Amino acid sequence: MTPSRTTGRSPALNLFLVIWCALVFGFLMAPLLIVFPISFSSASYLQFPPPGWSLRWYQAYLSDYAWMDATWRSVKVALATTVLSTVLGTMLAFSLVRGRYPGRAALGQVANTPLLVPTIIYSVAVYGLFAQMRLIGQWWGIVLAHTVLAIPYVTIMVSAALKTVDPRLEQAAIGLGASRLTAIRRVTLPIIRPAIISAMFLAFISSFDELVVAMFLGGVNMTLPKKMFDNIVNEIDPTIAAVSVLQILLVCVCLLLAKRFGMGGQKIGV
Amino acid sequence: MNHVQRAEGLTLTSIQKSFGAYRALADVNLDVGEGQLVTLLGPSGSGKTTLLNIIAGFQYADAGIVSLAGADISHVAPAKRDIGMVFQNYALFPHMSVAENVAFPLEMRTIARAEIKTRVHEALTLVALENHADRLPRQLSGGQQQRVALARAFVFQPKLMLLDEPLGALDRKLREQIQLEIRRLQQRLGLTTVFVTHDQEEALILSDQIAVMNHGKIQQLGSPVDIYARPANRFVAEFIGESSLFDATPLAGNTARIGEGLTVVHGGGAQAWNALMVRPERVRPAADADGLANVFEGRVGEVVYLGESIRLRVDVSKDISFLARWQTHELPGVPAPGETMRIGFRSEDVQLLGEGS
Repeated sequence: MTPSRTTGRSPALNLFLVIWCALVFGFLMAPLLIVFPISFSSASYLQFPPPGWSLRWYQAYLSDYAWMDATWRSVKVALATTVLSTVLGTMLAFSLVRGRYPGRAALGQVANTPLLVPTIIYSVAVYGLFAQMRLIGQWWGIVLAHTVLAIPYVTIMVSAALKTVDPRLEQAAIGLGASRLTAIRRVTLPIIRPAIISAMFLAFISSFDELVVAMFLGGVNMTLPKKMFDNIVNEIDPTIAAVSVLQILLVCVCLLLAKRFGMGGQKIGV
Repeated sequence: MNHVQRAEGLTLTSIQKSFGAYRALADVNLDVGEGQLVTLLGPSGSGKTTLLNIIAGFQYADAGIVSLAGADISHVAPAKRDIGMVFQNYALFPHMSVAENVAFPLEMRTIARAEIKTRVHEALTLVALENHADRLPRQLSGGQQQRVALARAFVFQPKLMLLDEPLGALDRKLREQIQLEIRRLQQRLGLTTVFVTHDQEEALILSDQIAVMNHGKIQQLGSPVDIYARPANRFVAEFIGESSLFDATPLAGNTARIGEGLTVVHGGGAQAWNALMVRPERVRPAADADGLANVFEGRVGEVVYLGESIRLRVDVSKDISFLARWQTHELPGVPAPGETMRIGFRSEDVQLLGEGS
């Protein structure tokens, strides 16, 4: 590691950089922050600053069947995606890190392609396939497509953690009488658990606010992001702001939990 | 097999292993009696680690039989071999406490919880770590981690204990202490043990038998005394201890030529030999040299003063020098480089050596 790059830089330049970063950050974040006051607005249209304060848009959201239906569907899809992608992605990471077989590097590249292919291209392709298989409108169809998108996150995070685990720990466990599976379950998985937890939250978030795939595959059964999109297109009112606030808070909670129980909270390795 | 196998202990018969064209092990035979500690000693690449992995079951031999306690385990999975292994870097499970680490092999054998607790406590007491049961490995010193690894390896009363250069990471003083500790423990528990090391001193301290390995073969198997005093070939002589070793041409009567006008009288006995060696402590100084079969006059070269002893080089010709090691009290003072000095040794102190295989 090279020493911190701030050393040796002039104070004037430092000050300039701090101000510059603050400006960029403010520019990017300000629209997001405006959502909060608008969600508590008493007006029936998007107006800033709000003329008065109320909780009516939260109430509107919570009492609207269509919103709730979309929300629960999104939660369901995201949870199922989390489980599937974590299991499959972790298994793939084990294969990529511990395996010794020809084509291993190529497999790793293939597993990461969902990160490279534009989502819209992917969505169109999956739509064509799923339409033939009559999967459009099924919530678990979205789960399958989201899982493919989430697997690279899991694989990348778990692989990175797995590389820091000495394979001899597994070997030691086996030598002491454990089966290979027991060795992984009792020794390797607990050591990389922080990475797996982080990966799970990332997978959850990646599915929970995914719009494009859900748009193509959802049919009439909308997920929350699709419902939000429709709301903005058709009948824009501050409900969208209330939903956004709740969604931002949920993602923040996920990130905080990931930090607490995931890799941020605990050092991996020996 | 046509010979009767020992009921206990480890027997290796004609073990062979190649990696592609590289021959890692060529026909290795080894018998480790019950309760014995045998060291596999050799430089890196000598095949000792491969042999260890084959005994542990992490690798399989191309040919040959590994038998433990009378049973052929050549094709038994490592988990079923009942071998306690201590790894070079200890391989302690970092997320488990000391007690959980030691309990692990017992849990794998579905032993009752209460008994596990007792046995873990006993094992930790034996390595003097009973007060550290709840610590994590990273909270312990290197020596303590080493002892946890040891306790984990013997707590389930394995048929064999394997140690793979377990002291490499420790400083010298701690090493000596733990060497003796391992030896005491091994004898007390009567554990059949194979110890891998490249440190000859360690092998001499610890072993009942030493198997000196090179080029995938056991060059010599013998007690520490055998190995040091009667090395089987040139490789063993050079690898173990210090010596003055020369290419030698046999001459008539028990003599050999080691250089221009320099002949040595030896005790004979060996068959095909082309080298000879004398251990430094066998070389006698000055007046003590008189009357011995071999007496040379030389110039003192390098002198190393070690407190209780002195090690020096005496050059008797341009390319022939002898190493000598004397107790400080045997000499009136420390010889100075450049001084002329007479040295001598008996014919039976000369070891004749052939090439290793």
